[in-house]
Amino acid sequence: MPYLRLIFPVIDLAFKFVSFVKSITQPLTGTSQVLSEKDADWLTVQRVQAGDVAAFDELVIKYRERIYSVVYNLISNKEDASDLSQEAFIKAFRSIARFKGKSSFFTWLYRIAVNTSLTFLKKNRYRRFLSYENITEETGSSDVLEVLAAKTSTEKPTLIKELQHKLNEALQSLSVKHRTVIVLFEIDNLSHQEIAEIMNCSVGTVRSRLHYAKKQLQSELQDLLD
Amino acid sequence: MSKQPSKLNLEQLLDLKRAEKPTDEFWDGFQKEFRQRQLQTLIEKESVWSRIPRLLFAPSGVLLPLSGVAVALFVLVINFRETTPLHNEYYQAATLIQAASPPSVAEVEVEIHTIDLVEEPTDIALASAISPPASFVMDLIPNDEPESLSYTREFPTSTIPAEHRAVSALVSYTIARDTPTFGRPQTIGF
Repeated sequence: MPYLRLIFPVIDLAFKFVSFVKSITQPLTGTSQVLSEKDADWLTVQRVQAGDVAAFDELVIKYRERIYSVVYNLISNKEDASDLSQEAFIKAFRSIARFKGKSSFFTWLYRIAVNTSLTFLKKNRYRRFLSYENITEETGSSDVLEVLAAKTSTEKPTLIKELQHKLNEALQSLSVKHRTVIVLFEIDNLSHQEIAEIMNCSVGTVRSRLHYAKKQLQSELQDLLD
Repeated sequence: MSKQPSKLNLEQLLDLKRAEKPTDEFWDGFQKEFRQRQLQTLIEKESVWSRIPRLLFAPSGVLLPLSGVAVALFVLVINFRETTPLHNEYYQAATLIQAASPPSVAEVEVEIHTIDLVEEPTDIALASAISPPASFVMDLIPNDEPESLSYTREFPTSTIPAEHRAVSALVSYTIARDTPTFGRPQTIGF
């Protein structure tokens, strides 16, 4: 029976050893994992919160094109879009100390940008000017232009201008809520869930708004789609 | 040779919107302008008025009672300043006027207009009232109109003690035309 007395300490030691090995290896495997976008942003945000102002530049460079795109497509004016995108970043910078990392930084920033644009639209309800960005030659867009050029036998530059005008007019004819959903889903490729978070509504509402917005857009652009 | 689709759908049209992009030069300017605005934000001092609500409603739980005490002290000090000096001033003046003997020389007169209880105004010679050491001194500056003889000193009702409130709200001084001080700035003391 003296062996039995020895078994328990041995088992105890074995457990201790295993937990020790785990404690050593766990942090190593954790850091070796690739950080998700959300975590990476959160780390950068924490640096900014700790006083590293330059770290905010990384976030601006990372998201400036997407933020500009959403603002531009909501208001269809490139000068105002530039100004409002900067304003959105400044607002985010000012209130970054209050960002707790519960949602992703990207969703939070998008919400600021969307709200800034909506406030602008509300203020300038009666005096709106549209000014467009140049369409860059991309494979998808050039295909569309080829089809339309063949249909209408119009020269490409003229066709681009006409098309751009019609598209922007059609977008502006939508209600602000419908426009926001279309822009975020169709142009910025966000998921229903992300849009719901940004617009502070349910996924069902997003789906329904998207459905009606598409329907309205289709009727507005009927002559191009036929 | 690739075959192009003859019909377009909405998604394809919206692809064109995705292709609306600013140039690379635009982003250089954008970044520069953003840095300027960011710096401006950093050096911008918050105004006192914008800081007050945040301090009052700070979640720390320390500033709220402190702010409450500060506000209470402020109210007390303002109240004290508003009532004390004028209250004493009026009280001393009223005591002296009541103790004064009837007028012998009508050089300067003080009229006490009653509000409720005293109906008739009483003339008291100020010269005889000055006999005790002056406890209330007031600069009299003639009115703009050369013919005017009267100077008034108004006591706001809130500064008059409750027991005297009915007696007087307005003391006026009249200087006779033939006195040497007529028409000049002068100091009257009780």
